[in-house]
Amino acid sequence: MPSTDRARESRPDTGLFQQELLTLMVRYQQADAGAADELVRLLNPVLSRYFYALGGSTGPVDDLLQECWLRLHRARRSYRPGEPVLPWVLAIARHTRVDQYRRWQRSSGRESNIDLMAEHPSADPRVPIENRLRADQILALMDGLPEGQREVLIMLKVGGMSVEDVARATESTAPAVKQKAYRAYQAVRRALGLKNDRGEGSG
Amino acid sequence: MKCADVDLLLGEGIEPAEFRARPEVRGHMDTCPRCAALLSWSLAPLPVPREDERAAERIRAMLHADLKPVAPVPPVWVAAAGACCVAAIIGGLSAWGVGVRGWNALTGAQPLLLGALFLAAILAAAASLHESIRPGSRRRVAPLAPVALIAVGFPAIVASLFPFAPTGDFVADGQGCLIAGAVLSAMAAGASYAFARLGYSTNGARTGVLTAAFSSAVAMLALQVSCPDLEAVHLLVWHGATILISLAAGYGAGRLRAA
Repeated sequence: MPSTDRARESRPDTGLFQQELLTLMVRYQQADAGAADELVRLLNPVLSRYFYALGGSTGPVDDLLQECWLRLHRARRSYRPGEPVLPWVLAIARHTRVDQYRRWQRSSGRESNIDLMAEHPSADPRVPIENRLRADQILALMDGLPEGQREVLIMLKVGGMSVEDVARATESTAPAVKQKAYRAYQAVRRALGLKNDRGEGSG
Repeated sequence: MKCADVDLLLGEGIEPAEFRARPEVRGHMDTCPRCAALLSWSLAPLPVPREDERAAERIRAMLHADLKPVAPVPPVWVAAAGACCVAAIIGGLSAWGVGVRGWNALTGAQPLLLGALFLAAILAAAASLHESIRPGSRRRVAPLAPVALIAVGFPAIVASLFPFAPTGDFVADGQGCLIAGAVLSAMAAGASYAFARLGYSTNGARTGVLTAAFSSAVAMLALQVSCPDLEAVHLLVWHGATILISLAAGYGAGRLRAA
């Protein structure tokens, strides 16, 4: 069961959070067990949110977390001290999820449906806006976005990542990330039934 | 400010507090409930699944069980210097075994352009490979750059600077170069693979191709040093085949490893 209150509580104060991660990663590379524990405590909510928001259908979040931590641990020397930690973590998380997704697709033969947004109940203009903005609808709305746009939105919302950090994590460029985010917000606007000042749902 | 500007600003990934504090944003939000609603949506935290403390404990135990100090991947200049050393060693071995008749036979702009091409390809491949094995790193060198340099640059230089006048036994002479090129490329690929293992690749095929771009550039350099046959068709077919074989092998090995 999702807990948005806890998510709000654990929403990191970006600058301090990232600075703390930098220090902890260096200590983790030096085999400091305390730093490893602290990293697990700080990064687990970020990773959980990322995996959960991108769809638990590829397997339980706990399994993805465990697999991701195994990879992070094996890959820890690939982190260069002084570089931002979150793009490194989320690039590996992304890779973990993609691998899991491929395995899941091979085993189930199912395909994802990315055209759900238009049919989503939150697009119904008769429903008041405040009811359309319930936290549990955040993910439901995102489900209808194309994979790339959804991932960019989630990364921007997870851990207060900058566009540059998202570009690093997704092996993309900052302009491409901005473009995806722009399109995603327009799609969200449309899905929420919020036309813009030109009367266009899509902007 | 218009609604489209709000979408653009939201896409910039600006801190929520900073975003809300902007006077033009505040002014627009006061008069536009639609954008206020969109902003509320964008600022709402993502739900997080219930934390399983036992799962977290398992992760901690797993990390503690294998907690050894590790040295981070060396900086890019070390990778570049290492790549040049590997090229010098393999080129030197080739020259020691077969001689430097090939390089001595080059005239005019040929040694300058070929040397610059091989050096650029080797450095670009080293830098791109260095980025490729560090997840979340900034991409400064496009992975396609070293591949394009060697796969397009070499035929272009050969076609423009070398004579088309086949001499001797085209196949017998060429086969020797092809085998030597493949062996030299395999040696360089081994060194490159050892370096790639220091990091973590999120894209096996790309890492394989970059390894191959590096190894084929080194092999081409070594072949150019030793092979005295400077006829264009020989260079394009038999030396060029080293590039194709290396890239195909690198891509295949990368895909296989990723799978």
